[in-house]
Amino acid sequence: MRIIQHFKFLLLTFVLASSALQIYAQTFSRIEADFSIKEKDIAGNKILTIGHVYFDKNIRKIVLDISFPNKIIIVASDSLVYIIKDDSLVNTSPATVPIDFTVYNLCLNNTLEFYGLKETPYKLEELEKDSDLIITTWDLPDDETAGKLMLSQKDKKLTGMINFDSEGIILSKYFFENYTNIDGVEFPAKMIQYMFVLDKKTIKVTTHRNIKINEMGNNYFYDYPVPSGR
Amino acid sequence: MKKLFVILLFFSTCLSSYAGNADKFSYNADELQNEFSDLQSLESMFIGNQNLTIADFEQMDIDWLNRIDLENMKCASPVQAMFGVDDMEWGAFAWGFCCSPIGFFLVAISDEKSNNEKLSYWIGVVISSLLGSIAAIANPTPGTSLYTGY
Repeated sequence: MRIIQHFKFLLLTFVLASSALQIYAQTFSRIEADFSIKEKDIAGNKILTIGHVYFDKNIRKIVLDISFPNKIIIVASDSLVYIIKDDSLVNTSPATVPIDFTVYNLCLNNTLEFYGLKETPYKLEELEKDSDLIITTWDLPDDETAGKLMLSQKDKKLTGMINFDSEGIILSKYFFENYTNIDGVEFPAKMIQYMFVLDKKTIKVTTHRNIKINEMGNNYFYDYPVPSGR
Repeated sequence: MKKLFVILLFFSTCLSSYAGNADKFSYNADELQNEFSDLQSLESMFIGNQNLTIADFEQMDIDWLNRIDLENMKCASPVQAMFGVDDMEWGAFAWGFCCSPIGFFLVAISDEKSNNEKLSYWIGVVISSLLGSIAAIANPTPGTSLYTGY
């Protein structure tokens, strides 16, 4: 009788442990959302862009289905950005940000808190505490040409990032706000970016709505086929 | 007394430097709201009826809509909106992007270069710096640069 009880206990422990492991091992691979970008460029022009974004971290393409001001598709890969209009490739340009360090990929991998810096050669140089902010300064050792990065966190969420040049002058500021938890993924629905060029600044506010994680439909858009060039 | 003064001085220095950094992580929310209030209205109107095109908006006579340069927005490609690269002086941009110290003497301080070229150079420097950080992240060997395609 005792052996049976022991067996039951072992079985229960095994079932509980395996469920816990399953939850832990749950991976997030896809994110899609409606987005809008309100921008003031360096010339003072104000531009609104509205669309839907698809990203699958295994496919490594960010697909933007833009509906305003012009209907157009943008496919961004690690190396190139393709502009597609009416099913035709109209422009190809070099990518500016590797997929790994896009907010979509960092959120799916749960590494946005330190902007993925923990897995890089960047070293934590300084840590400061405010009443509700933790500010960390990151530097690349043995590279005098690279500027420092400063991150701010609140409640273990990244709230800001400042990029400095090697002279300590601020080049850009990013703010991450309105975090939403979707099926376990914390995503900043609002992002504000300031870029400082000479004595001017550009402002970009990106907002996301209707965020979905691991959506299994829309396979076509997640792996949008880039048509051959003109 | 002297010790107390030194300790107080030390703490006040610490506090002032600490307050400075926290201060860097702030922006003027009111300014931002005012800056984009017209675009916010445009966004709400489009989300309410996604069949509307920019041509439809051009025909509307609404006060806040008249303040938006729809013609410019229509011409601005999404690439420009997202990456700001369409009207770039590519030569100057490449100097800033690939080798900013050399570019500084060739473009940034040269009287012969146009404002557009100088601006393009600085945008190149900024993007290069951002990419420099990211390239260093992506590449385990510090100091190596990302292939830029130029």
